Amino acid sequence: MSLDDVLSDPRVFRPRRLGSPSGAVQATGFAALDARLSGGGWPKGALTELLSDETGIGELRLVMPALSALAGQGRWVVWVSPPHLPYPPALSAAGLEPSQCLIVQPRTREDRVWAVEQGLRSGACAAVLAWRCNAASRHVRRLQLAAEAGDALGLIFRPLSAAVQRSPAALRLSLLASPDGLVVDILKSRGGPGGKVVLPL
Amino acid sequence: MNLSLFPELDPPNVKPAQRSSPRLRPAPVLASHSSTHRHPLLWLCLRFPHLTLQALSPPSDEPALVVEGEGSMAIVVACNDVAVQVGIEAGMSLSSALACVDAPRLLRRDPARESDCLAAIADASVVFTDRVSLIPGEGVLLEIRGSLKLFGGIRPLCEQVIERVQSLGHEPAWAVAPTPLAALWLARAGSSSVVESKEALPGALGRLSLSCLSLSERVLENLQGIGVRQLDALLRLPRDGLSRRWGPGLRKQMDQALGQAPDPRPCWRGALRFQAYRELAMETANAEWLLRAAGAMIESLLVFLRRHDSRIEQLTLICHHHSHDDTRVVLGLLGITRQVEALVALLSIRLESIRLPANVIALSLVSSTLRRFEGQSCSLLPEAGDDSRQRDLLDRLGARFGVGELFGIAARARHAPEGSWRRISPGQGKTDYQRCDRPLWLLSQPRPIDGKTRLHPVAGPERIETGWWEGRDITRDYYRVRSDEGTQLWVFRDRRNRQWFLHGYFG
Repeated sequence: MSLDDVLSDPRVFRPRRLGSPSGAVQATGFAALDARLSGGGWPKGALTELLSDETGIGELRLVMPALSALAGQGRWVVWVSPPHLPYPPALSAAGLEPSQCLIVQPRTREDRVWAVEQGLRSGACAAVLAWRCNAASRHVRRLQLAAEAGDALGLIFRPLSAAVQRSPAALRLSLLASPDGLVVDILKSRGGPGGKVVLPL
Repeated sequence: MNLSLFPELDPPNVKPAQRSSPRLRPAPVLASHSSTHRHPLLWLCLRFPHLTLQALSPPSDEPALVVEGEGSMAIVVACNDVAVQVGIEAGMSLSSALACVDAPRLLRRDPARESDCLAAIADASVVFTDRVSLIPGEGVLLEIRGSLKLFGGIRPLCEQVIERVQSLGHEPAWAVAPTPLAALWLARAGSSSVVESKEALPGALGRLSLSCLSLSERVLENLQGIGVRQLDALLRLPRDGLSRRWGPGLRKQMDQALGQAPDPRPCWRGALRFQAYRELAMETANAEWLLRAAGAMIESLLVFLRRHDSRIEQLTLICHHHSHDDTRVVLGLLGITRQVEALVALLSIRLESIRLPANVIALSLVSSTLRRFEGQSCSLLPEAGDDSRQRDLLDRLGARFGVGELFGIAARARHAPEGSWRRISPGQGKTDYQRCDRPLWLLSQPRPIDGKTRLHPVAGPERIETGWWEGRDITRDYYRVRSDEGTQLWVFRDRRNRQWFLHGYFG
């Protein structure tokens, strides 16, 4: 095993890679969560994985403040294979203009990954939200590069079982419902303190 | 050969030096002129009063309004029969029309679609005569004198033309007259009349109301002010006075209508489109080779587009095979693409997603009809409002996925939750209907839930009772509830059968 192999392993801690590649972040809108993330927000120009098995626990309300702030700058939000319809009256109540949303529903997994990559790379999108895109690790790396090129926020929603797989994503969170609110467990945050936050959503 | 029939071709009479001198020998082009005298022209005017509406292919089962203008200035320019029945008429302001009907289908007027329709009609009527002329926004003119014998007279010819046009889905008003303008005026009056000779024109036109003429509002009011309501009264007025008082335009119109002044009409030459065919050096199914061959054709397409200062909205690449049917690759273009590489890249995305049944022996490239190119000025620095990248993305996604798999969404102010959103083409239209008590996820169909599931109410009930007047009535009590697992759901009880349904998630 050469030195390069060792250094390219994401498990090896390298201070140079702290934070997102561009370093820019978008505040999440939740101070408790911002305090625990590196740079204090969602990493822009990078991938974030959100792991959860349930729909309706607050997974969208968690990202809505950031999306509405980003879309306010005129760029689009692309939804690739959302499990249900993002409901326009609620979107615009949350501050996200529905006409800035583009919904893509490709039939196969390859098409979904391709659409996510196109959206991230284009520079036309502030954020790309993707579901049912269980991409292999090398695909995720491709997506990561695309997000850097297009300076887009990539939000990949995956099942909790993906937590054991390693991933080059800059930020990985697991989301669980609890009586007090949404439990956000930071599995990986380049350079951030990490830990658990309960958000009363 | 008896050359004396063609004096202008008779070599002994004409010397080259004389030919160029009109004083010595008048140019022999009067043959066609004299034939017009023997067979004066006859024009059939087809006018489409409902073109604005028909061009947008409106629904026939719900009220549809065609609207022009913005905001409070919006005016209904046309509406379908369903809307007429509830009391809406063209010329109403949109707000008063909305007072008559609850939620009509609103269509924006589209002049480009209207001229497309007219172009299609002109294309279809070229089989009846070689002289077809467009009246922009209104109808078409056909010169039919030369076709009368072939089609068996004026009436049979008109019937065939109208039948052909009706098969395209348009209902014309028509008239026949010796001058184009007279035919148009008669068609505007909707009389379906036939006037064969110029001598009969003043009598036939005399009965028309002045609103059939193309007059400005001011002239029309002035004329009505001096008691001129029909055309015969206008014809009796001295011409000199007419042009002194209302300018030469009115007098010219009348002279043209009566055949006393020339009224040249441009001939319809058909819609321009690009077509190219190229045989491959060898049979291949290799996408890279095909793209290289297509690239050369795309280059000449772009030269063609630049020369005509036009753009296209659709491009079709046809792959010809030996013993199979042709494979057609259709590419929709939203953005203005003037770079070969960009088009080839779009084409390669499309080619990747199809499987060629056999080797390709030749390629054709066919464009849709040309549209006017509307250039955009770019700023030096990229701005947030620059939407060329967004159209680029749409082109790429659209090349791979169909329209059904790619759409935008907008809110709609309706009470019924299923009705308060609609699909739109991405990036179009804004809406300001917002409800913060609505879930972020909506199920496409309410899903029944059994009574055993334990749910804890968080908010509600909100009663939604609507749609009874259009047969889609719902009467439901909506609750926001929390399940044992901690998910927040939007459920309702149908008040008619007391069944519980899940309709959304507060994601």
